[in-house]
Amino acid sequence: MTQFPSTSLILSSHDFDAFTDPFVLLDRTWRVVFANEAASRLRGSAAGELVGLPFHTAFSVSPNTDLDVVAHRVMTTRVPETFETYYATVDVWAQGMVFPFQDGLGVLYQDVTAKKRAEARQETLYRVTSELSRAITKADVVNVILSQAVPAARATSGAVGVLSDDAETVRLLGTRNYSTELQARLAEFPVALDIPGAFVVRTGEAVFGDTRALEARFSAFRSIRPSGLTSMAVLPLEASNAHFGFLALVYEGDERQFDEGERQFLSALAGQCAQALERARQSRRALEEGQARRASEAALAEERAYLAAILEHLPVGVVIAESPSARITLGNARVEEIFGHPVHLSQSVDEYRVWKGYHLDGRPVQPHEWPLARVATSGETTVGEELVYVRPDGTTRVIDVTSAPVKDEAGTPIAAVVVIDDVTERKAAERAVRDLNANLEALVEARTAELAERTRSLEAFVDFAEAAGTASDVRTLARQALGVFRTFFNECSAAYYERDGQMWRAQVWTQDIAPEVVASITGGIPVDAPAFWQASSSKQPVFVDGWDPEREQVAATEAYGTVALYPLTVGGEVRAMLAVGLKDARQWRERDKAVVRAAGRSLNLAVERADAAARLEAQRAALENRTRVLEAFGELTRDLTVNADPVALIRRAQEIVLSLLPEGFAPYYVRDGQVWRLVVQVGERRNPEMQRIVNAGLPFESQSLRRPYETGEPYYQDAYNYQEDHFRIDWAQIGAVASLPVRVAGQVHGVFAVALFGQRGWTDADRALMETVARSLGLALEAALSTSTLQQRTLELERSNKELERFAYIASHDLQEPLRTVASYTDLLALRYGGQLDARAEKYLTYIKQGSLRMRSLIQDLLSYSRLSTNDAPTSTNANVALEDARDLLSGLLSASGARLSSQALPSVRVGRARLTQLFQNLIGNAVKFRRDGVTPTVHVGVAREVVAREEPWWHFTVSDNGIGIETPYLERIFDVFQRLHTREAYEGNGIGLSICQKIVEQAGGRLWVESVPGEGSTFHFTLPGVEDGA
Amino acid sequence: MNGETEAALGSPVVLVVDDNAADVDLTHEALADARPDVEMHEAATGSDALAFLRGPDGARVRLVLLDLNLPRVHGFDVLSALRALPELRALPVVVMTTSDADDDARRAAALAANAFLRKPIGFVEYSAMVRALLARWLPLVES
Repeated sequence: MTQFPSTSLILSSHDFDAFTDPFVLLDRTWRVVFANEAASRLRGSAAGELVGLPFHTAFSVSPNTDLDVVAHRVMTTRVPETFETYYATVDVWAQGMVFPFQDGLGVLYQDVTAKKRAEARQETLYRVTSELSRAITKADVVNVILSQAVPAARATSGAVGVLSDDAETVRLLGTRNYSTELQARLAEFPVALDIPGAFVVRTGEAVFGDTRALEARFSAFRSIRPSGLTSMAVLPLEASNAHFGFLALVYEGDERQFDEGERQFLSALAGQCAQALERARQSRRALEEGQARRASEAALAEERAYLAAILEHLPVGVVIAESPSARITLGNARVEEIFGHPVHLSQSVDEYRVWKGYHLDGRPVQPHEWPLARVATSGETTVGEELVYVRPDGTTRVIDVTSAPVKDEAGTPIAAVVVIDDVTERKAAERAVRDLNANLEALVEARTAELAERTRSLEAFVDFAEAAGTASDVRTLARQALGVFRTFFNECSAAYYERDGQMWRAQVWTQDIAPEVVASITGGIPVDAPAFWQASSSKQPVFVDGWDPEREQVAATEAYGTVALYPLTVGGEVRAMLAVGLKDARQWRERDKAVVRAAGRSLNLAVERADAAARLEAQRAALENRTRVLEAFGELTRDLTVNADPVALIRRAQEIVLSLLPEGFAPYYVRDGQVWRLVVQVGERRNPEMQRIVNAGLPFESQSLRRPYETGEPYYQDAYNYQEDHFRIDWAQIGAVASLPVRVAGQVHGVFAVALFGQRGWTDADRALMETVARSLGLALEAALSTSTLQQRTLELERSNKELERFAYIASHDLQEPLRTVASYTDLLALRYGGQLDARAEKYLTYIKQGSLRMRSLIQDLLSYSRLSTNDAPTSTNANVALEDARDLLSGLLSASGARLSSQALPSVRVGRARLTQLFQNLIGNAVKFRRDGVTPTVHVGVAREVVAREEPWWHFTVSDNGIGIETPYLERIFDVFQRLHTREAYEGNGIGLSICQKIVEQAGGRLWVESVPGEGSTFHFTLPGVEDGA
Repeated sequence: MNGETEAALGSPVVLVVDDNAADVDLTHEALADARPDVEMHEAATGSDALAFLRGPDGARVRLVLLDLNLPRVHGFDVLSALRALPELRALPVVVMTTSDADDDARRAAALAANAFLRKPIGFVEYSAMVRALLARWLPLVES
């Protein structure tokens, strides 16, 4: 606000006329004393016409306007004031200055419209710019442009468009107040289209104009323009000296003159918009770049970690150096392991001195000679170069080094890498193998020479060995063995002898032997001829040098210089003799001896094998018999399981035996005093008279029956002596008889006899068969007899059980009747004659009554006990329910005694509910009944699953108390019927409860027992079968 | 017999079939205590009982107390013979026994006995039982 010090303002009226702004002076009565030309012009009056008029009239000052208010205030305060006011009708901003002038006022008006407008534009620009600065994304920017910049430019509608990347089209980023149709048409349009927007984008020049001018200037504008448009400004969007789009501002209503201020303002506005868009674009790019960079950095880091991990875990050492400086940057763990020290990060080749090593020829490795230095500096690569590395501790390692350069994409070496393998052990192993091979080769050579010598003799046996492996006839084998000698020795004869009484007789001989010699050796050589004797007694080959036929007692053998005898043994016994005679030698050489030995051994093996084969054949036959016997035994055993009839079993045994033997018959006798009774017989006797005699019974003295009976041993007769059995005539031409005792439970039950028609000796197999069958029959009979005994016993028990039940019923009924009579008449007596009896008689009556009731209770207990003999119907009961039943039944006793009864969850068991209830009732009742004085009785019912391999579960129950307990001697007795350990006065009861409990448990298949500590308590245990589904 | 001396033509009769004199006397005592107006006739065997029922006084029998343990013919046989006669089919018969056998109760029911009772030990209980039987089958209409 401008200050006008009134004292300094001394001006002439002309001076005021020079003012282009209206200026008026007033006196203190508000009359105009001066108005300059501008003021007069304002009112359309001539200069001076307004003087003398009241100010308000002269200038149409309405009351309460800014001018009126300020003027009155200054008139009073005498303090100058400045104010601004807007005249909407003329769209003019004025600034008024009112100041004291003499005793009146001076009023100066200035048109400040241009200044105000510039300020407003500045403000708008500032507001829009700050709004734009807050927008980050392109969408935000466009939104601010359309919602803030367009109204700020006082346009009614607008649009923002940008050039596409290919510079062919223009794309609208957004519009304000554009019709949908226009939006669609302009969404994307060719940059060549002749409309203002396209022009601006092409040229970067702004376009301002009214409809007419624009239509004249742009050919396509008429058809593509906002309706209602009167004038339009299209401004280029420029950033970094490049235009990339347009901002269109559409005006309606009065045509608009875009003066310089307006154009500058709109250009500035567009510039801000463009910058904001550019900023958004750049921030977006930066964002994208940032993301891309972070992603690639992460990938790189991952790659590095991956590479480092690989390097760390490589089984070979790796060292990396930069190229060409050879500065070492990395070494992995394996390198440090091989070198025995951390990797020296040498900065240059010179620093490679810290690495100590030798070439294989012993020269020290110079710094520039290390493969890494070579590859890093000159690119020279190595493959598998071997060096010796000296560790800090002085030990050495042989290393195998391979090097390679690392190149960038352009192929320039940027790094060098060496791969180091510790081959110390491998080298040592290689050397060891080399040494070993050398040794082996020497050995093999020696061995080969040795073997070559033996080959000739070995080959000679091949044929024989093959023959010996297949032939089984001993003489055939011998003949082949002799052939071997003929091919092996130059001038030789050979013969095979077998023992014949006191002679060795040649059985096989070589063809070369002279006839007289053949006659001599087939004629037999005494067993005590020296060489033969020596060989047969020592069972060792005998080599005779300087053969002397006379001394050796082998006639006609003068042609031979040496003779060898090889005894052939089977089972340690000399069976045959192999003889070899050489004509061209007087002495046995070791090698030739070996040949004889080898041939002899082979032949001996073949002979043994042949012998074994013969024995095996015999054994096979025996085994077959044995098998038949076993099968028969099997049948008998099988029969036993289905047959318990002793007679049928004996018959079966007889049938089996006869089926395996030649024609005959088989009787079975048992002793009856002095007579043998025929029990059963299979097979015909062929003689009715003999059969009649046998059926009538044989005398005990009959040897074939009496002997086995008395000795317990089988009696075999290859030829039957009928007279021994007291037959007068050989009725049936019986050949062989066997009679065997049959033992049942250690006693001879009877005699199993087999008689065969015709002559026949009993073989081992026959004997084995009959003895096995007799033994099996004994076992079968034993089982059968005990089975039938058992059945009989069971029947007896059942009968006795029934009788007992009947007795129990009768007893209970018949005993109760007289009892009732006694009790009832005692009552009646007391009732009818009570007053007439003395006290003693009354007491007697009481005793009678008590006795009756007690008797009644005993009878009822006995009855319920006897009822338990009958089996319980197979039902299952939830033991928890039964326990509750028992608790109800015992409620009186429990509450009277203050007893505590606890239980765990109980399972379901295979016992009737009533019985289980009674079981609990009796055991718990006892527990409470036999309580200790002064101790609150506690009873606990527990249960655990029994660990037994049975299909259904079994449960182990316990009923434990803290009562008086039971003395050990009584632990068993308590289960006896009517057994009482205490006087009736101490504890009431009949002593039958536990017997009932035991019977209930045993009927269910379980067990009941007790453990007790006298004075501390008892635990009754019982087991019961559960049901599959458990509790 | 007491019943005969006090004979009144229309008075109701309870027929007691029991061979045990002591028991019969006991029943008589109990009956006399409970209902002096009721006459009691006793039969020691089944045939005696049937003869009485078919005789001139048979129509007055209002209740039969049948013991099971009878000589020669068992109580159940008496009951089935009795039930075989059309005119006696509806006659109330109470089977009484000293036995505890469960089978007896079942058999009695099967033979259409009207009740099955175990004789209690002691006269007081027995008397109460007889009183209850009479109340059920011989209610006091006249009084």
